[in-house]
Amino acid sequence: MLHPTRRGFLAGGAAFTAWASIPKIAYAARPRDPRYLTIILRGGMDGLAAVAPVGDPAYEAVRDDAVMPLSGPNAAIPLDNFFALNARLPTVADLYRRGEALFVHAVQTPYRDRSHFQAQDVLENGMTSDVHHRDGWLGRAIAELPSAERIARQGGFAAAPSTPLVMRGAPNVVTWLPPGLPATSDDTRARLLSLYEHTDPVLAKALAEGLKLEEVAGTESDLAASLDQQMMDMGQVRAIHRQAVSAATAAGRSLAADDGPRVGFLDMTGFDTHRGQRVVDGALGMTLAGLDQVISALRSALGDAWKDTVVAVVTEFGRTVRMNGSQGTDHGTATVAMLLGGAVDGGRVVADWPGLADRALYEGRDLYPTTDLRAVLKGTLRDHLGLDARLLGTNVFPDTADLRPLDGLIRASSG
Amino acid sequence: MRSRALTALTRFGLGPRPGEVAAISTDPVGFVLAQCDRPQSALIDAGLLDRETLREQFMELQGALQEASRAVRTGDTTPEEEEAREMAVQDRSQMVQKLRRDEVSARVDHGLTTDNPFVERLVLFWSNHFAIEWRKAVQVRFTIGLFEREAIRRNVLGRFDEMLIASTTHPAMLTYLDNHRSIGPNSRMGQRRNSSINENLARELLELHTVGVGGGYTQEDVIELANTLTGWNGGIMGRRNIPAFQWRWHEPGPRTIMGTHYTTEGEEQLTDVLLGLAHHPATARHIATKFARHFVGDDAPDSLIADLEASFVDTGGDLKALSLTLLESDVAWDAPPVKTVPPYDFMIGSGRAFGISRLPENFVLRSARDLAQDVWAVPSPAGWPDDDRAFLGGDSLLERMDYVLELVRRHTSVRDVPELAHRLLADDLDPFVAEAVERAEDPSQGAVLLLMSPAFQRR
Repeated sequence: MLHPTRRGFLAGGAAFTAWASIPKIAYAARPRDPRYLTIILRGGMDGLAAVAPVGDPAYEAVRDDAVMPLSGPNAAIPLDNFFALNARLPTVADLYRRGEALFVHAVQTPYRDRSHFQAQDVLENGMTSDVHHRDGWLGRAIAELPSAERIARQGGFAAAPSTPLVMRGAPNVVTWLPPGLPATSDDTRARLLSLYEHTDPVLAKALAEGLKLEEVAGTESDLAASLDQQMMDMGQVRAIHRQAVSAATAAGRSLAADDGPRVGFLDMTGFDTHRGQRVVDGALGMTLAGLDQVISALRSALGDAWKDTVVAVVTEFGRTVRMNGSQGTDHGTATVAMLLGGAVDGGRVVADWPGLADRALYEGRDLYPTTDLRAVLKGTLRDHLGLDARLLGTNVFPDTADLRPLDGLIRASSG
Repeated sequence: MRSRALTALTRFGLGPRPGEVAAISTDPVGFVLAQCDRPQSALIDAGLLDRETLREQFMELQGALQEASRAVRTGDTTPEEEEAREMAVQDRSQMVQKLRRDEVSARVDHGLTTDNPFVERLVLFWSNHFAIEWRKAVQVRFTIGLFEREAIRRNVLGRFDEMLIASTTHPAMLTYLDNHRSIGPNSRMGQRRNSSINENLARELLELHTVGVGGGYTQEDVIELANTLTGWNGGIMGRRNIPAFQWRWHEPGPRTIMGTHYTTEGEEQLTDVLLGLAHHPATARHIATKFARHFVGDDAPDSLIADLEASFVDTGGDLKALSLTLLESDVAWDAPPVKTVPPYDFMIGSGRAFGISRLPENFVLRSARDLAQDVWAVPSPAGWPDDDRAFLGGDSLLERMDYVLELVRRHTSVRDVPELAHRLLADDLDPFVAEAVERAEDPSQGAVLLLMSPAFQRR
């Protein structure tokens, strides 16, 4: 017997048509055009300083001089009766109030050692070990999307010199670098394009794509101008974070464009706070202020598309619960992850809180990991991008069939 | 069709220098063949540190840091102790920065000035075959330049088995792929404390360096090879003076790897196993395919691959013979230039085109990063991608334009670009390119259009 052809399948029995069309009806009610972004915070963000468990009875003792102020000019922003947000994250706090920010605390990947290099590889490859560089979870997720859908067709955007590990495996990723070298003029570009059209179609196509990308993301001088505007009140943001802010603007514009990519990546450094971390006015406070600017730039560049967006902000590991001798923290284990965006069912902190008492700590020093970060990511990929839970457990995060995706992270109207 | 003279300088070189196409046009094949008789031209001296000096430097700086760190960890740390540790960290990182600048600028200057650019292309090919990411561990940061000078440059026109042994036993490779932490469970050390082997290097040795993905090895072979490798640490281990092969960590016993039984023990065993892998037929096939695709393109014909494979088998992996086989193939000369010139090669090539013999290392390092091919920052042990259109995505061509513009503004005084175009490309100068350069609004625009033209972007 012949297998039914695709045409035959589409024309087939009523039973098929009925179940096959259910999701389409849902789409028709509100045309969905989901955007998904991952921001990797490199260096290991101190989850206890970003989202502080001020209600934990051991909190003040372990954090000592670096305890989050609850009053005064830098007072933490209360999230619920237990957690408070660092004052350097006002944009994120605003999102939280609108129900567009959700925090998952005491999360970690399966990685349990304390090397940045390996931990970032595990965070990106979605495996249990760092010796896998062929592809990453986000790339595999894109590859699993139905190829006819816009989100698969229009591929990914990475603010990086080459496709980052987390996105490798995706069929189609454009890379973009923040402004660095002085730019050639539009005139020179037009001349080169014409030269390629006469001499080399492959180079002509590649240059045309590059120009198109820039048109969508914004030219370098255009980005510089919009940055200056945003930075006016931000004398404290470090130069290094200006690049991340401009990457966020470019990513937001690209993902907002009708024919732009739908999945994005960017990263930030500055979280490896071994010394002088403090809470709001030290090394970490400066970096968190940079992160807040990144989120703000992203939201404004996405415009209307923000309502269809999920941004997963993740880091390779947390830091020690106690402060070290240099007013900093050393490499630890569990930390906090943030989900931001109009599609997030936020305004909540989700945590199976392990506690900060000595006996509750991982190896006597770190926040104990109680939620697997992969369950969080699986929940967002299933409910926002519509990926099948079974595929998530085999192809996207291999060997995690038994790890249930976290439910309820995404707004019902969106999923 | 591209002339053989320009092909000699692009597909088999690092881009033409002014006047060079005309100078070699009577015998372009002979020009490249002759380079294969100059293996010495691959070597770089430039006053770089030798292995023993580097090892001493590393042990001194690392030892100071470990001592300072211990003082900090003992509790009630004094501010002086904190400061001492900070100083030790700084001393070490300054040394790493200095080594990187020295090694990279020696490499770049050599590329800009060498009269044997095909030999340098061989260096870049083999360095990418045995790819190492320089930031992985502090030992790697110290020894990455040394690795290329010792394991690669000395062997590019020598023998594959010798290059394989030099690479595998080099401290840079052993630490990059975690072998310095691999301890046999039944070794003298393993019996005293809980320890285990690390398979990382063994797996990449089979998958990437020798027989290749389809080479027919099993997980059992990986474990056996990892056992063979136990004890090999490279001898750069901080304060303690440990031999490059530490027999106390070595898993004793004979091995069977891919059907071959090895009865030698200890240090000698690895040599025997590597010789076995280097001369395995799957290795010949893997290397021949990779070599052909690197120079001729993704669609390099099977006949060429078969010729290279036969040469590799017949000569027992003589790399000079491999190059000669490639250069004696008509198809290698006449296949169209489909490969994109990688950013690093383009950086060198644009310098050669303008007759620049030195570039400041800061400019080079920043440009390499901006062009998405930071030196020795390979994305994985598989090295940089090598397919025809690698490095063509996103805004990469725009970045190249910006790079040429800055190079021209800061490092050259080229005025007459149309004349330069003729000296660089002679009869290969495409009329559209000549016209575009002629009509450019200023020399820097002309230089950008010339260097971005297909003759410099594809090979």
